[in-house]
Amino acid sequence: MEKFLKNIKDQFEDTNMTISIEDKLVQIEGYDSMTALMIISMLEEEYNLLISSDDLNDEVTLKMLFNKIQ
Amino acid sequence: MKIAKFFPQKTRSNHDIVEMHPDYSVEKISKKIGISNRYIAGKDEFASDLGSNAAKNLFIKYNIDRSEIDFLILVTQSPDYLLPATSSIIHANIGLSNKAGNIDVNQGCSGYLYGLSLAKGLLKGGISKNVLLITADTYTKYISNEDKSNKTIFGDAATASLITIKDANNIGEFIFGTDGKGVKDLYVKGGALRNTGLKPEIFMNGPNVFNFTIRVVPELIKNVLDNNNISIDEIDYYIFHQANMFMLNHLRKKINIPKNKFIIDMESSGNTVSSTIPIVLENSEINFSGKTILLAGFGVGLSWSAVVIRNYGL
Repeated sequence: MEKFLKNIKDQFEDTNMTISIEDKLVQIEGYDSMTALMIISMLEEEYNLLISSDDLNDEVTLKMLFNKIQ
Repeated sequence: MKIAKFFPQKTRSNHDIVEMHPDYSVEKISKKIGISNRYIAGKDEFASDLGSNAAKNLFIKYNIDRSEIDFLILVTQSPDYLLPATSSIIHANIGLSNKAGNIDVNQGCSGYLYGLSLAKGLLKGGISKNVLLITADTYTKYISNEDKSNKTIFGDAATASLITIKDANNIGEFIFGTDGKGVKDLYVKGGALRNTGLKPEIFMNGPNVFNFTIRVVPELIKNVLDNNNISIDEIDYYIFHQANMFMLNHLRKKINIPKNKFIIDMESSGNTVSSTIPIVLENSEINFSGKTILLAGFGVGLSWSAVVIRNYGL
């Protein structure tokens, strides 16, 4: 899970930020349309998981994304 | 193939976008998508104007006798009118012969490939001798004032390509595909008959369009290589629709295309829809003459196409 959180954090390019697995994606500071694409790209490259916009709805938490890669 | 391009005078820099949207991190985003400038059609400048100017540039650049052009194909998704075809307006503007046919093709990011395939068919079928293929779009007119994302991506442009039987003989086998279930992932809802009361504004579901390209493009490339009996290493240059740098780099890595063979050239003009591929081909910094080139377009529709051209320009 730590590796997953680091991979998510890398997409925000903010080394000082703290995130938790319970965080809702849209509520993480700095999340925007570009970060969404970067997360899709990272999940596909690192975990071979291809997600769509439905998987990135306003209620999605990092835990929900993490569960998808299990 | 002989190609020329035309950009409107007005530009939109990253700085301009920041001024319009002070809270928007445009520098960060434009660095990722590889676009720092876009050209914007003026208030009274439309696809027919851009397309006519590209054709006029072509005639001057290559000293072309316009009376010898016997077919005009225009690829556009931002027509001057619902009818007639915008190519009829261009036909008159550039003084083509009354014996020259014309047709509009409503395709976007895969549009140049569609135009090339129709040109090849007209030439190989003995119907035409000199086909003028124009791409022209003014997508920026579809972008609402609040839509900072699409402002960052899209720019306006036109290109004109003269295609003869010699060129057609070098154009290989095409692959086409459509997934109409994704129509609403990139569309302009208003402006035509279904929603007459709505302003014609563009909507793009970025994650879904990205998802679509990751699903479709690697297989498209594999299939077009197979259909043309050529290996991935035998292609000298890969020219994909210049959607945005981030997406292109993801695709390049996924398909295992060497960096030096994969052209990314949109920094100064942005995503110009059906014009991106001919803009790259026209780029005088790279000598494509005699090379084997793979072209691939994908996007709005959702639509995709690819082809291999051998001995380009010979």
